[in-house]
Amino acid sequence: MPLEKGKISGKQLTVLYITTIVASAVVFLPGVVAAKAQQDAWISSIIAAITGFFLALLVLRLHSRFPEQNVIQYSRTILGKWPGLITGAGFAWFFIHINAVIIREFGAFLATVLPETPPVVFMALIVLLSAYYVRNGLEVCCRIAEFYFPIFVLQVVVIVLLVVKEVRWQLFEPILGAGWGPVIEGIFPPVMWFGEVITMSMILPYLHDKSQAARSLFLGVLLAGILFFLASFFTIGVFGGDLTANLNFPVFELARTISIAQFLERVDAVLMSFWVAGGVIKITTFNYCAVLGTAQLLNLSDYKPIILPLAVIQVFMALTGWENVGQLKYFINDIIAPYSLILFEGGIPLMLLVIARIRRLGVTK
Amino acid sequence: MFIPIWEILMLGKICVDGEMMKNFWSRFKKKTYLSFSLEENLQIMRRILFNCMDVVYREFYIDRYIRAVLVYAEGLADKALINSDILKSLMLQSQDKKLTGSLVDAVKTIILPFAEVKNVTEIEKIINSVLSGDSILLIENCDQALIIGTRGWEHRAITEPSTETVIRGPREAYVESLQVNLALLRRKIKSSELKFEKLIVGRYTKTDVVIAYINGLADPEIVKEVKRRIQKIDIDGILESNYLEELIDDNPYSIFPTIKHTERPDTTAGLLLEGRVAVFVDGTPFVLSMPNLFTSYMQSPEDYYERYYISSFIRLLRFMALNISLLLPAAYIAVTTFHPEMLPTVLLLSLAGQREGVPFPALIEVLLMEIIFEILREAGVRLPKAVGQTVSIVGALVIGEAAVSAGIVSPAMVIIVALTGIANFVMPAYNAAGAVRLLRFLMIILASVLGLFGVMFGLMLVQGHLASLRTFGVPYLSPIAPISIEDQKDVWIRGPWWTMQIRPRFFNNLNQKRQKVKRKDK
Amino acid sequence: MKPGKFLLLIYISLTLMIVPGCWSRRELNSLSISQAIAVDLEPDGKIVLTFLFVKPDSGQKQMGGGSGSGMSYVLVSEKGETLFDTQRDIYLSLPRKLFMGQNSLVIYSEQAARAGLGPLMDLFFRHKDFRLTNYVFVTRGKASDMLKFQPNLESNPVREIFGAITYAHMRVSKTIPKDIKDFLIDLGAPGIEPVLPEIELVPKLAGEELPQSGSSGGGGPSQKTKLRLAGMAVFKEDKFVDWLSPDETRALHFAVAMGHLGIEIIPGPSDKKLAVEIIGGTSKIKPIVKNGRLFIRIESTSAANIGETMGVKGIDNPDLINELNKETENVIRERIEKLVKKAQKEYRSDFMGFGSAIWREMPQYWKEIENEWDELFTEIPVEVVVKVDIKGIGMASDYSNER
Repeated sequence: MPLEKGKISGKQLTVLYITTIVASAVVFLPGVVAAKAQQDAWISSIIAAITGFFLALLVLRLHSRFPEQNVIQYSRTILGKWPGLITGAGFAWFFIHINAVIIREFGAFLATVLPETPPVVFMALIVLLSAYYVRNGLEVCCRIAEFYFPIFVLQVVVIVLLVVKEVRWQLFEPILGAGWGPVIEGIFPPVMWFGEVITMSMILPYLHDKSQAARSLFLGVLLAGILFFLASFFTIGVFGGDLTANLNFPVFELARTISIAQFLERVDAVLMSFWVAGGVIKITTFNYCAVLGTAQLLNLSDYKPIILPLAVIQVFMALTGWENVGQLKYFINDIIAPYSLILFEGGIPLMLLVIARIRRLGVTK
Repeated sequence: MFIPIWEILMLGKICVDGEMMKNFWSRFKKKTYLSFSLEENLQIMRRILFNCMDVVYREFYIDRYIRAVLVYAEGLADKALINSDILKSLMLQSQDKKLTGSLVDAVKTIILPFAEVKNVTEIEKIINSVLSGDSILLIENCDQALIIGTRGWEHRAITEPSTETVIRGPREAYVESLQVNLALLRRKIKSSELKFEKLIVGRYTKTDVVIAYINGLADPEIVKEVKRRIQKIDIDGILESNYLEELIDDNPYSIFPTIKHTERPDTTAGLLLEGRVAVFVDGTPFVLSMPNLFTSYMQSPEDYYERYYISSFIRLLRFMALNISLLLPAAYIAVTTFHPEMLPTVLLLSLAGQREGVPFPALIEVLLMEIIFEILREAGVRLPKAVGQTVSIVGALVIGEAAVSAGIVSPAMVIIVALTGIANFVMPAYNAAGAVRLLRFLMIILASVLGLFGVMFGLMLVQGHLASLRTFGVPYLSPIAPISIEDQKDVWIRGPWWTMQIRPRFFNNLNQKRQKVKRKDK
Repeated sequence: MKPGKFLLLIYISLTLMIVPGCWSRRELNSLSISQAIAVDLEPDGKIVLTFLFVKPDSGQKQMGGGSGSGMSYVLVSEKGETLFDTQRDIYLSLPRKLFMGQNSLVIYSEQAARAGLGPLMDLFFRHKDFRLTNYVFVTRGKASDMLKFQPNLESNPVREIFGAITYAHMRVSKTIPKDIKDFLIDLGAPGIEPVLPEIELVPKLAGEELPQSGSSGGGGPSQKTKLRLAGMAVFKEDKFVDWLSPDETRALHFAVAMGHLGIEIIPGPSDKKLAVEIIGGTSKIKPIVKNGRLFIRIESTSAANIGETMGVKGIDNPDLINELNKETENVIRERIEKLVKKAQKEYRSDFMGFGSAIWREMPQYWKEIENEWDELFTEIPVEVVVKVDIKGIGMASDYSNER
């Protein structure tokens, strides 16, 4: 009996992917990238998007071999029972763990905006909301993403349009002043974000029209890349490489500089709420993958009973995993990249694909 | 296991009702059919219609010597018709006619000049017909009676719709009579494909319920589903279409109505042409239609009768009004108490100045004013028209002005609440506007706890709920989510008629084409 | 799980949320809205913060009648070790919650600027209420005194300064508005030193003083001084070095393309003067390597109109216009050259950003010279190329009664 009965369209997949990637990327990434690549951060963002294409391609190749299975299921098909089970458990753990990071990130972000409120309130509310979405099934998650997607894209575009007059072009110079080294160093964090395409391997089996998988995923990478490029390009243009690197939430700060005709000022609080919407959708995606994966590992017939326990576990992990924001920042910048990228986003999928090829498993054209 | 007390009570009530029904039927169950004896038949009828003083038994002789009784309900049957056509034909004009064969058939075919005459033998049918306004002719030594269609009670004349007024467009509204309502619809759609299927609901009221749809446009699955749900209803009475609405609703817990009601025949016709199903209930001018989508609350029939520029503008205005009505007080609270940095300095100073001396926190202020407004509004609806005006003037002007000058509320708050209230009236659908009215309070409380984050949380909660709703299998938020690009022309704006070449895609229509040629080809 | 139970869960969480209270809430009438902050450094190293709080208008002026008498703002000062500590100590004497989200000005005293602005700006960069678009000024005397003048048209000094900065920049270009963000960018970028505009109070001219109505002397703001925004403060790293005069500020404008605007007075024929209005233009600082030697070229191109002739005739003569072009170019070039010399020899501060121009154009070369740039800067040859093009002569050709 299938755990998920819903079917989603290609458009919905694109929208879900973009929201999942961009929601937190726009908030946190420009600063992280600029810390490494300085004023060339925007070049890093383009390269990162191109790398994102290859990661998406990896997921798609595996999908085309096992169109009815997700990553947890086909790792079992490919590797056999016990190794497959361990790999699957690893992926479920990965989704839960990354979700805890994201929850903590948003909690920390909101706590700086509303400092008197305990961050656990925000975390609990966001996770509760995402649990509600997951409970309603994949289709509802996608519809929510669809509903907020235009707002989400629009707000990035609106910020960009409103700050265009603040951009100082000299801040981009010198282009590649320190050579390619820092630029390459700067692509790792965004590639990790693009690598979250692995969540889509949990969702691809529920695509209504399988032929649209590649198109919609690549379109998603393209649009997410453009949005991310805009965000890093304009933060650099307004703040320059050095200041961007020192700001915790550069785009948020970008929104604060908006001042149109002494009327439209400080729209940052509105943006904050839109980002929360994006964040909830991102957390929902991960939550869904975690819940579905866990249910499949445990051979459950319904995933609804484990939604709330998992939500509680995730909030608990988010609360206790890092003692302060500094630790969180260090963890994101320096630890999570090799851990998630090499292991779960690139390494294991690549290994799975290679073994599947060697063992000639799955559908081959 | 925990069983709620009300469920026990409910269970008991159903048992009691069932018992009563059994007794009721058992009284005449023995004699289900008419006998040859007129006396006996009359006796049975008198026993069943015991204490029904509105039922009249008129005894007379056909052709001077055949004894007959005409039974009808006073007020329901058209008395003029009975006098001039039934009694006159039978008593005075029957002598020279040759009555051959069965007497009942002869009366039916030769004497009675009526379109609607039926033979019956079951007593239950006879009783129902009498109580529906038909006349029954019982003839001596006949085990058959004739039902003569004399329904002709007084009904309200067709007037202008009172809740859905338009500037341009037809001005007729449904009335309480089912026949008139069906005729109104049939006059708009003269196709043989317009089907009316009749069901009877209500153990006591025996209300006629008619499912209307256009064969070939409506999804047969939906029609079947509607019929199935209505047939499953077992209730004592249906007095208004809302009884039905709540009983066949997909989402009984939802605050949002998933079935639309209208009192305009043109609206129903438009919906049927989109492939939806309408349900008429006798005794109410409000006709249901399903499946109903969230966006249809933003559509008024007039949108389709005005130039599309104006209509599109007004529709965008409605979406704005929806947001104002739902979010303005909450946004005001959130911005002034959590994010004052968002306001331009001059505005902030002016608002802060207005709040000097106001004793309540902004939350209490807003709740106070909102509740006062709701009370005034409800009073305005319930009071007689002339008094209602006075109340609203007194309420709005005097209370508002006095509250401000007494320093109980700030002037800005009065503006906010008034704007919110007026914006709520812009939504064409009263029931959806009601849902928004209620959710507004949730938003206000969330905003006062968590600022704009709270507002966003509330919005996402509501949207999650909306996205999870389905109405007869169709996602409630379509065509926004799941998105259908082709259908956007009739959501945010009202596209010109020559662009509406296909029917909305969100139903599984059999026939997509609305128009044959593009306008520019002409 | 039934939907009812889930709704119950949501209900419980909502209640739990509301019961502990409303954390970040602040009613509008419990805020003290600060509009400007003046930062002074005492000789003993203590910081004095002066806040200008606006009193909200009570909204019912028509009814009260006599509300125009009092000031609509107050100044509150506090002394402390650090900015944040001092800011908190304000609460010792403040009945309302301090709200800096609407702050729009920060003024530093010269002493504070000499000690280095970096540490004194950190709070504004870190605090979540504070906007990076706050305008920053430096003043010669005490910073808190700058908030103590009688505003002319606006209701409080901050609005007066805020209005003046826009026009002083656009129409006169004797000052360059800088916000916190600009300062931080200049501070962080290699090869450029920050500058900040100066603010000062000058005595009113005789014609400006209105007869005093009442004896409102007391502790009220000085009636004898007025605001003046002219000149700049030059920094080396985050430490104040020296002042630029208004004319030098104009030179800076033309050298680094902050805006080519304002009036130039140029000598015309027969000892008469003309006023030329510069209406816009561009400039570029180019590092050029010629014969192995590096030098800087400042290219400044402007468009202008004749604004006032003061009796010069034949203004529609193309030859005269050409001559005036030359004259204007000379005036501007001389001024820029003077400024460059001063920057190199006197201030030794690269506030025009020669170094950052080199960094942008030839980053590899910059890496080599970065460490000795401070020395190199004072020696580097600078070539100034100015081009002015007079486009319009106004609504008249010649002075009619001098025919």
